[in-house]
Amino acid sequence: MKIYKFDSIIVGGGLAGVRAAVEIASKGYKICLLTLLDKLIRSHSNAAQGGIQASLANTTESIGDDWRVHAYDTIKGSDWLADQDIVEEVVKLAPFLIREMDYWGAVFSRTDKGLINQRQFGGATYPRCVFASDGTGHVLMNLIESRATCLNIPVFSRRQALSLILDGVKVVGVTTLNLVNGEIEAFLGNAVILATGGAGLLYKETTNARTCFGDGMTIALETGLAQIGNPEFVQFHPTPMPPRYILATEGCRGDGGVLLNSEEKEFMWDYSSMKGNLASRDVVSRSMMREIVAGRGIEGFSTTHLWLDIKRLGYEHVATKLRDVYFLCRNFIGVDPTKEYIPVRPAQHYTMFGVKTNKRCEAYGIQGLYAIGECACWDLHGANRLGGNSLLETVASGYIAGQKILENLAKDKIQICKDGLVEDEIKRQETRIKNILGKKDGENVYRLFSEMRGIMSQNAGIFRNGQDIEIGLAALNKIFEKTANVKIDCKEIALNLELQLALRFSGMAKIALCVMKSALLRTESRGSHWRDDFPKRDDKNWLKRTLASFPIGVQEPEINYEPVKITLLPPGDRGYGEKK
Amino acid sequence: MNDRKLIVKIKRISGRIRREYFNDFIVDEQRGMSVLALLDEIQTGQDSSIYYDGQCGCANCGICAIKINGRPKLACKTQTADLPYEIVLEPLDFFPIVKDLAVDKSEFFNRLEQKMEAWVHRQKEFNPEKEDLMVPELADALYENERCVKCGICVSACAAASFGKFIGASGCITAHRFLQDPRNEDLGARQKLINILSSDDGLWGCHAIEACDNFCPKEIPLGRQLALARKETLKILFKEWLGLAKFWRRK
Repeated sequence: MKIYKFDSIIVGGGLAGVRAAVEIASKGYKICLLTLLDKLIRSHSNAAQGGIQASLANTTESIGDDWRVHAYDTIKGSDWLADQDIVEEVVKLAPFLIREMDYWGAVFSRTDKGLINQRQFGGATYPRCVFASDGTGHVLMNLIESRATCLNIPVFSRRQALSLILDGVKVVGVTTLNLVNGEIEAFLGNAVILATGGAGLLYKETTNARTCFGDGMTIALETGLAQIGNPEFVQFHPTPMPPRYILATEGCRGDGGVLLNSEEKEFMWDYSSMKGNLASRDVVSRSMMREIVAGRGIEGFSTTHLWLDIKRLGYEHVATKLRDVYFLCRNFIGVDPTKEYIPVRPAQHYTMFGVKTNKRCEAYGIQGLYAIGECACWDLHGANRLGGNSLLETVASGYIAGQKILENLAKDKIQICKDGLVEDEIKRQETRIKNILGKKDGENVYRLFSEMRGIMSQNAGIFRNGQDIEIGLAALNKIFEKTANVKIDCKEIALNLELQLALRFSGMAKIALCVMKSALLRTESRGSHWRDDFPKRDDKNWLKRTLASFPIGVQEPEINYEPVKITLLPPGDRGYGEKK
Repeated sequence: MNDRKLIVKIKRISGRIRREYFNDFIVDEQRGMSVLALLDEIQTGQDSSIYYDGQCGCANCGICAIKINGRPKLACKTQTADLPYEIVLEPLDFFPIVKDLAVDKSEFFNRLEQKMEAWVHRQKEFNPEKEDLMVPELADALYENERCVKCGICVSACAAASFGKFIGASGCITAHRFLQDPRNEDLGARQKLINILSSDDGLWGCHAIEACDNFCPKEIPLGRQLALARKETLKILFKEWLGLAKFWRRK
C-alpha cells in the first residue's frame, strides 16, 4: 500500500493540468501530475491543430478587435448559455496568456513584421486565432512540458484514477491503479484538480483519442456529490475525414477552403446566408448532415460524405500553413489535398459538458475539488464551443485554478484527515478489482462498450427527437443494469487493457445516461443540441443550465437547473443567418 | 482485396522472467485498416491479454511506435493494405519493454530533456503588452524541429544509438532548436547545449547512415536537420576558436 503526500494532486497531464501545475509549482509548492500515458506530450491536447483565440489586435487585419468582440463572438457561439462573467474574465486574460507562452518560448507563426500571426476561424468576427502552422496543440504541449521539466514537477505516468477519497464533503486525495505493477496507490493533497479531458469515447464516431474516457467526470460523478453541467451539449466537428474520423482543422475553412456537395456546389451559403463556410461548428455540421440526407452526399470511404476543397488555396499554402492536413490526407486516407478534394463527414469532437465548477474552477458539491479544461463545465462554451476557444480554456482555467489553489495553500498547509480513511478507500478499490477479476461468467465489457457507443451515436447524435431519445434511454438503462455483471477474460491486475475499461465502464454508462436524459428533457433547439420536434430556441423556458447528478444507490440521474449569468449581451440572434 | 485474411504474429513478452514467444492470429482485413485498428480487432475479439500502446490515432502523439515486419513504424499510420498478408509485430528496439508491444520511452526522453535543460532560459523581463519580434523564417525553422513527436523511431532505427550513449536524431534536433532560439538568453545554458551537441554522444556520434531520415513518421527531413545542426555547432565552435586565437596573438 503506497501513499504519497503532496500539496495538491493533478489528475491528467494535458495542457490544462500541466498549466495549473506550472502555476502552483512556480511558487515552490509540492505538486504532482498523474497521467494515463507514459509522457506528458502524449496527451490529447497535442492533437489540437487550428489555434488558440486571443484578441491581440496587433496586425492590420485584426485592428478593431478587442476583448468585447471576442466575448460577443463567444456568447453568440454559445447560443447565450455561457456564463458571461466567466467569458469576460477569460477573454480579457487571453492576450496575457498568449504573450506569456510566447515569452516562455512557444513557436507561434509570425507575420512579415515579426508579430504573432492570427488566422480566421469559424464564428469569429476578426482573424484572432493564434497558431503554429497547424500543430498548435503540439507546440503548446512541447512548451508546457518544457516548463514542467524546468520546474522539476514529478510526473507519475501510467496511472489510472480509480476514485476520490472523501472526508465528508471534502476531498483529501485520489486512489490510482498503477498500470505497470497493478498496485493501488493513494495520492493525498489539500486540493485535487481534475484535468482529464472530455468523454468523446461515449460516441462511436469520434475524433477523440483512445484515452478520452472522461475519467475525471466518472470518478467525480461516482461520489454522488458532484454535478455534471450541461450534459446534453456535445459538439460535432464538421470536417473529420472518414473512415477513421481524423480531423481536418477548421483552419482549412478559415484560410479559404470551402465545403462542396456531390454537384460541386458551395452549399453552405444556402444554409447560413451571413457566414457561409465559417458559421459556427454546430450550424455547419447540421447543414452538412441535411445535404447528406437530401441525397447530395458522395458514397465512399465506408460512408456517405461531402467534399472539402483546399486545393484552391494552392500548393504553397497547403504545404506550409496547412502542413499537417497535407500530411494526414496523404498518409491516412490516400488523398492529395493539393490535387483532389478531401472527404469529410461530421463526427463527435468535443464535450461541452463536464464537472460543474464555479468561476474559480471549484467543483460544486465537493470541497477541495477543482476541474479544469474539457473535463469541466465552467461554463465558457455554453451550448456550442467556438474553434480555438478550447485551447484558450485549458490555459486560462489552468491559470485561474492555479491562482485559487495558491491562495488556499497560503492559508492552510496542513492536511488533517480521519485515521483509516485512506486505507479503507484503498481496500474498497482492491475488493472492486478482485470482484471483477473473480467473476466466472457475465457480460463481455468490450461488447457492452461498443453497444453503448452505438446507441449514443444513433440516438443522441446531431439530430435528436423525443422518440429516438426515449428508445436510447431504455437501451442505456439495460446496459447500465448489466455493468454490475461485467466479466473479463484476462485475469491479471497489471497491464490489462480489459480491466482498465471494466473499471471505468459503469461510470461512463452513468455519464451516457445523464446525456440522454437531459437531452430528452430539454425541449428546444439550442447550439449543438438539436431537437427535430422542437426546432426553435425557447429563451422563456430554457435559458438555464442543466445540472445532472447521480446520488449513490439511485438507478437514474437527477436533473436540476440553474440560471445563466447574463451580464454583457442579452439573448438575440446569433448572426449566422441559419435557416431552420 | 477486401476479403484478404491476414496472419498476424505478435511477439509476447511478459512476466518477471520475460518469457518470449509469438502468438498467431487470423484477422479479416477491412478497408482502410491501420495496424493499430488491427491490434484493436485482435485485442477486443480474440485475445484480451495483449498489451500495446495507442493514443491519438493520427501520428501526433508518437506512443504507438512498434516494429512491423522488422521496420520501426507508427502502428496508427501504417495501413495493412501496404503490407503482405503475413504481418509480424514486435516491440520497438532499444527501449525497455513494459509488456508485449509496449515499451517505455519516457525514461530516455525525460532524462535527455533534463540533461540538456530543454527549455527556453529567459533573462529579459516579461512584457504582457507586446510580444518579442521574431522573423517568420526563424519561426518556421524552429517549428520544423518542434514537429518531433518523440516516438523513438529514429533512436530505435539508429545504428549509433544501439551502442554508446548517442542521444539520437530526436535529441540532436531538440538541442539545436533551443540553440537556434534567440530567446534562450542564458549563456551557460547555451554552452551546455553546445557541449552536448559537440560531444561524441551528440552530433559527432552520428554515423550519417540516415536511417532516422528514412523512418521518421512525421517526415521531418532529419538528414538535412542534422546537417543544419552540425553547421550551426561548427560555426559557434569556430567563432570560439577564432576568439581564442585573437586573444593569444594579442598576448
